[in-house]
Amino acid sequence: MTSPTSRELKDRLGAIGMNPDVVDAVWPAWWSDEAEGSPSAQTELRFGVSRRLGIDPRSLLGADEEPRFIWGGSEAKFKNLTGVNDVERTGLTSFGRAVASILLQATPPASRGISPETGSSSICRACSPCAGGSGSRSSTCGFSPGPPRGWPR
Amino acid sequence: MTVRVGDRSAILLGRDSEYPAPVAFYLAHEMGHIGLDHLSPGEAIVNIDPPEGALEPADEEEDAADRFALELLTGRPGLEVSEAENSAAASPGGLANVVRQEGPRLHIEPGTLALCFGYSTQNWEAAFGALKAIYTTPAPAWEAVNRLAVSQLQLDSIPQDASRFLAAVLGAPVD
Repeated sequence: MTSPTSRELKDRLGAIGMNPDVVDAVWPAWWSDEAEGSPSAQTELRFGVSRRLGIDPRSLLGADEEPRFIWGGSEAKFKNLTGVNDVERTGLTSFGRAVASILLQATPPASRGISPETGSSSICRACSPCAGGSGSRSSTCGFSPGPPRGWPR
Repeated sequence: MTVRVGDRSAILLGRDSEYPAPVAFYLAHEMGHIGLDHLSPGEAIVNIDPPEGALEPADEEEDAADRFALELLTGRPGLEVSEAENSAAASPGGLANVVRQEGPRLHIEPGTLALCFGYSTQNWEAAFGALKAIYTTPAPAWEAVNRLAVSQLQLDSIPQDASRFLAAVLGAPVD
């Protein structure tokens, strides 16, 4: 059962637009009723949650502070983005950067850069109907690396 | 959204489609931003246009990323449609027939070819209408994309809580 303290933290995160499922996903597995009453556990909880969500941990430690995202909108180029306010922009940037950092930690380094040629080859290798060398291409997939022979020009 | 962390970049898709071709274009477009070195370390590019708008050149970088995507998906950056082709493919049904026939011959996925037609002619009504006829069973494209991502990630190389978080974001069960 969630005590008022951690419940309050979840409410504060929800108030800045964090999806409850995402907040639950960053909640530590070791969290317990016993941890709820431990100041050190509360601090560790806030550091862990803030790191995963791209939030300044100091803003979660203060009782009355609104959670602040680490990365501002100035670090991002927003293309034709309308109807989105500054808080949502910083949220998008910070959350995206936090997720990207974890993704890259779990991704083996690429051995080469990206070009249209290497990209199309990679797509063909990864596509499930063609992967594994079976040679059985999907009937709806005409994709093949290299230039087409006619239209479009 | 494309984010550069150090000398590496990651793409996050927040936009979905019931058909694979638009999502393939979004991905290829974001790959273009990476391949064309549009991002400085620590920088992100965020684009949340509706699908039609995303395929329209908005600035020099977007235009270049579009050309990169088209070249990646079709083999060439420039597209032209003749009057005869335009006439034959002007309706959703007509376009679906044309791309189903021409796609395999040209080595271009039919849905992508329909979007190429939309890009060239700005007849997006026909292009997106054709997708409904090309793909007989609509299905969320994000599921296939994220399933492939999970299969290529080394989730056991990161802390368990990070892996659990990533699984939640990807909407995919991870052991």
